[in-house]
Amino acid sequence: MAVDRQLSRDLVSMEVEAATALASIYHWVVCLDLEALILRVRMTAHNGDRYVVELGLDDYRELPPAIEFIDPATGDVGGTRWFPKGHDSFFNSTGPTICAPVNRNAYKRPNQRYGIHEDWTIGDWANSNVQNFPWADHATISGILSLIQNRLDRPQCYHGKQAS
Amino acid sequence: MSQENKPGTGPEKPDKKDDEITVIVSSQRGEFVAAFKKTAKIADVITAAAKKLGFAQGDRLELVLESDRGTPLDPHRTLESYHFKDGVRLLLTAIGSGV
Repeated sequence: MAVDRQLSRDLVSMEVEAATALASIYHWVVCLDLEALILRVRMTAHNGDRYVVELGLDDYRELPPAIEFIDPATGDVGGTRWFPKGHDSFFNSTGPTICAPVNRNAYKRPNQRYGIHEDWTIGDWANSNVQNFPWADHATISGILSLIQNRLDRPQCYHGKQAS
Repeated sequence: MSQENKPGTGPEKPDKKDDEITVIVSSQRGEFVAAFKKTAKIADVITAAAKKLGFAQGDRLELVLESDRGTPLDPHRTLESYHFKDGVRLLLTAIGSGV
């Protein structure tokens, strides 16, 4: 069942407002299109690599955000040249996509461009405990962005772009 | 053992003892400010902050310096071993799990 767009806008607006202090600490450049329910955040990795993370937030919070890394120049999605490479499957080369229950695109669903997991229930995204990790603690906009940034910050977790 | 301040009251607290250090911990769930013994371990700070900020027990949280986010602090080391100044600003972080 689709979530009323205004309800999603209200929730997103509140969460983005609450993330202001964190955005300052992480030096995020935040661009919110509330009408379209799209949030873009520019992040910088430990080595200076720049990324633009896009959260598609329609049907939020019934569904998790649809997380993409986008080409800063064109807005294209799905490219390996603007997708991070990590030490585990979180930054997943399939897609590529972020493989985590907090990402809508990680679920295998009808008409999905990609999607890895048939074994997850998307309705449980905000209470997931897969891999014995309490994703519920991080199932907010600021929590999700922090998970990504914390990986980009650490040399042992972030190994450059998937393709140069 | 921590002596908690209210967030936003700043690092100075009149009744803070000489053997204590005030630590400011930021997180995605807000800020936690408390005075700790200088001999307290990083793990003690994580536990206190996680409890106050409402993180689940068992969450894999780490502390980093706001000014050096690439290197998690060793949970077994003490605050004084890092030579932190009073009012040091730390960040409570997690990286999730590859699934």
